[in-house]
Parts: sequence; C-alpha cells; structure tokens
Amino acid sequence: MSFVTVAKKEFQDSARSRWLWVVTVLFVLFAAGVTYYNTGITGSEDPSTVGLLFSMLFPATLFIPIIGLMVGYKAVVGERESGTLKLMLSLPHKRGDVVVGKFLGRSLSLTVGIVIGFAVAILVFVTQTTSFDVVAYLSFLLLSLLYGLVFVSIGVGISSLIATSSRAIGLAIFAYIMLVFPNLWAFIPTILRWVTNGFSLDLTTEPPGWAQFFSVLSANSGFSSASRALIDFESLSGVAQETPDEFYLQDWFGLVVLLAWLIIPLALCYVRFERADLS
Amino acid sequence: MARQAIRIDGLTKEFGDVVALQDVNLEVEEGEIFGFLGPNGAGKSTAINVILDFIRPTSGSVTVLGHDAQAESQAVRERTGVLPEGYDVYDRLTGRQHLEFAIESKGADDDPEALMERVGIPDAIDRKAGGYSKGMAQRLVLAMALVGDPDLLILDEPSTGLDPNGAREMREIIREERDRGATVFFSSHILEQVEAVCDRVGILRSGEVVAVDSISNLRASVDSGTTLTVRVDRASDAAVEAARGVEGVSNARADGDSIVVQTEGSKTAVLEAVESAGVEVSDFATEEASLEDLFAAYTTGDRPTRRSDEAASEEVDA
Repeated sequence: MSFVTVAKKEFQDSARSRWLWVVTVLFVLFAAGVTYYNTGITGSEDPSTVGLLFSMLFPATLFIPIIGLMVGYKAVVGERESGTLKLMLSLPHKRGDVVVGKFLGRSLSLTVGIVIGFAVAILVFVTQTTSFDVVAYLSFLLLSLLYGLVFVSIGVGISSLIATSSRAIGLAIFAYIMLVFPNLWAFIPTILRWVTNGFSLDLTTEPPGWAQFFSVLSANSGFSSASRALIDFESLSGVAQETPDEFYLQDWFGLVVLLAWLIIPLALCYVRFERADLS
Repeated sequence: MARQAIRIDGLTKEFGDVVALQDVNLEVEEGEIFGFLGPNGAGKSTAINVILDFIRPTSGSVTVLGHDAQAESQAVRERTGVLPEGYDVYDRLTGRQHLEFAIESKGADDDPEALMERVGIPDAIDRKAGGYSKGMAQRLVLAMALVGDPDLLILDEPSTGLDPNGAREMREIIREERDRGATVFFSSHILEQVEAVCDRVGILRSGEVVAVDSISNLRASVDSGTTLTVRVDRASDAAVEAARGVEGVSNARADGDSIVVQTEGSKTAVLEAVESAGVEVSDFATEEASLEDLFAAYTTGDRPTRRSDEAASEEVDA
C-alpha cells in the first residue's frame, strides 16, 4: 500500500517538526482551559459532563477548524514549492497515494493533538466533579476528531489544488470564513432568494425547503447537529425538542454532512491535482 | 537491434504561448549510457519531466521500458531510479530515513549503509538531511535512485553541486550501473561530462533535437569544422585554390556554381579570398553550424560570430 508508506514518512516528518507539538499544546490549552474556565465559573458544586461539553461546543466549532486547516493547508503545496514532491514522485507513488498518504499522516498528527488535549481536560474535570460520563465525553472527542479531520481534508485538498502556499493560505481563510464563521454559509440561500425574488425579500416568511436544506450543509452546522444526535443536551434544559419531519433537519443528518465534507472536497481537489503539471 | 529503454515520439510541450519542446523524437537503447546534452533552458528537464509524468505532453507520446509514460507511470517508476532536477531533500529526516522511504516505496531490500557507502557519505547516514551540503544532498538522492537495482536510471544534471572528485565518482557509478545492465539516461549542459562517459548523446536546442549520435561521430563532425557553401557567379579553379589557401580550411571544391569549403577558421577570410580571386559572391550558407555553435558555446564558453548564420540568430539562454 503505497499511501501507507507516504503517511508513515509524513508522520515521521511532522513528529520531528515543531508542528505536532504546537498542535498538541494548543489543544491542551483549549480543552483544559475551556474545562477549567467553565467548571470554575459556573461555580456549581458538581458540574455535569454534558453541561461541560455543551459549554465546549461553540468554542470547539471555531477553534478546531483553525487547527485542522493549519495542519493541512501546506501538505502538498509545501512539498511542491520546496521540490521534495519531485523526490516523492520519483518513487513509484501515484499522485492519489500522495494525497491520501498526506491526509492520513497529517490526520494522525491532529489526532495525537486532540486526544492528548482532551485527556488533559479530563484530568482537570475530574478534580471538579464526582460524576464523569465516559460515553458522552468519548462521543464528543470522536465527533471533534471527525470535525477536525474534515478541515485537515479540506486543507490538504487546498494544498494540492494551489501551486503557491501564499494563495493556499488565502483559500484556507476563505474556507474557514464560509464554513465556520457564524454563519456566512446560511447567508448564501438568503442572497439567492433575494436575487431570484427581484432583489427584495420579506425575511419574515418561512424560507423554502431548498434554502433550509442548503443552510444545514455547512460543516459548522453539521458538527452542531451531530453533537445533538450523539449527546443528550436536552437533559440540560429539560425541554424535549420536536423532531422535524424533514430528514435534513434531523440531528443525525449532521453526521452525513460531516462525512460529505470529509470526502468530497478532497476528492475534487485530487482530480485537479492528478491532471496538473508539476514543474 | 537492441530494445528501447526510452522512446519519445513526436513530443511537443507548450506552456501557454511558449513551446518548450517541438516535435522531439528520441530513442534510448537498453544498456547504453545516453547523454542528453543542451544548454540550460533548451528543454532537457521538460523532456525528463514528461518521461516521469510530472508534466503532460501537449502532443506526442513517450514509452519507457515498454510502458506508456503517462498511463503507466507507476510501473515506469517502479523500475526506474531518478535523480530529478530542482528537488529538495526532507530537512528533518535523516539520510537513513530517506533511504528507508525509498526502499519501502520500491519494495526493495537494500541496505541503507551500503548505499551511503557507495555514494561516499557513510558518516552522514544518521544526520538530518537539512544539514547536508548541496553535494551531499546530490549523493543522497543518487543513493535513493540506486535503490532496488533499477533497469533505468534517469539523472538530471547529476554533477550539480559536486566537486570534480565527486563528479568523477558519479561517472564511475554511472559506468558500474551500465555494466550491471542498466540503461542510464542523463542530462548535462557540460559536454566534457557527457563525453567522458556516454555511449551516445542527443543534443537538444531550443526545444528541438538537433543531433543524436555517438561521441566519436560527433567529435568527427566537430573536428571537420563548418561546411561553408559559397554561391558564386562562376566557380573558377583560381577561386577554389584561393579558398584552399586560407588558414583553417581543410578542403575546398567546386560544386556547380558553388564552392564548398570545410573550415575551422574564419569564414570571412574564405569569402574575401574567393572574392579576391575575381569571382562575385552572391550568397553563402553554413551547414551543421548549430551543432558546432553549441559545442563552441558550451565547451569553450566562446560564441563565434557569423554574418549569415541561421543558428546564431536563435540565441541560446545560458
């Protein structure tokens, strides 16, 4: 398996770079910091795991993509600029193996960072609480990991699509703003409705189905929905939400959205990379 | 006839408006050392990049070791060792890790230490390649190219960064590989490096192959100088004699209304001598001038200037 060789080299390389440690330290600071801040500030005698996770949700939606994109955006273009890509492709690797191997190697770096960060956060948390919900916590960890890998994937995709790393940074920032920043994505159908409605729109009307569907397709929205599917946040408020009829408004659909973001952008970028002249 | 390790058919590569390669045809036979010669910017690396499928041809095809270079690139690279142009090593990985990467990638079982020994830098094996000099990096990548005893070695400017001793060792390894049965295809812009080791050479100039021949034949054609064909109103014996008398002229003969002169000397002097013999020169042309130009420009660093020389008008980027 050629891509395994590439992934191994990639992880070896990043383990020797400061990157892996920077990412790990950032996750430790993030997870332990948010945990400490929330358990300290709420001042409740015995904070619940689900309550903690709920408070981590919003910062995580903003923070994890930054790290994911940082880990990914230079993967291929960095090697293309320096010339190490020629060394790699002189060996019998397909370009697809390079893209997949890079994604896997960098994903491993991110995984190490997230797992260590969340593990330290547990240590902080158990000093504050008597009950620790392992299942909820692990669910949140795995979901955060998936969310992070989505952005590693988008980052690696960008890095294979673009020939210079300065432009790759630009595209990564654009991707972040569109997919994460609350919530420019949902604005797209609104603009479309405004344009198709002859440049006017009554915002009090219920958006049509396609606009609602489009709105839930952002990675950010997928993460939020999926977290509701996996973790019982309703227990916090005690109010049960009604399950909507539309499949795309149900919480499980968030996982589908995340899986789509994990695979489709990288696949499209790979198709372009496969055809590119590398010189 | 020997089988072909590399066969390039009608290869054209355009980058936008720039024609990097123009209808290149080239055959490299199995088991030979083939030197790919040409000035910088002539298109050597472009051709090698097509052979390795780093870039795609605008038209034409390349077959390497019986495989299509585009459709079956991985199969090509499984049996090929490459020292590419414009590469960089992985700064944070050691020499050993580089070689292990190459060995694993090729499914080979070479000993990294033996490879480093062979390229002359055994002591650097556990140092990070980021600290290597240019010459050491070149040796490391050569060692990676030798992994798995490839059937074909493609070396793009292999002497870059090497001192004369290193360049000599490089040539020794190239000969050893040929003697093992491998085909070696290497590019250079320096004739001396090519002629010291090559069985045959191809010369590329401004994206076109201008000569493919053995070194001895090329040498013969260079030694004979330029063929100067002078069109005159009448090719009198006196004019032919006058041309023969000019310094550097090895031969002169009348051919219809032309005088054909072989010379290594001044063409102007030949023209003046012919005119002073009482005939009128209406036109003249030089043959094989581009080849000679190339050699002159890249073996002596000195470009002869000519009055009417098509080849010289196509300036070469040095």
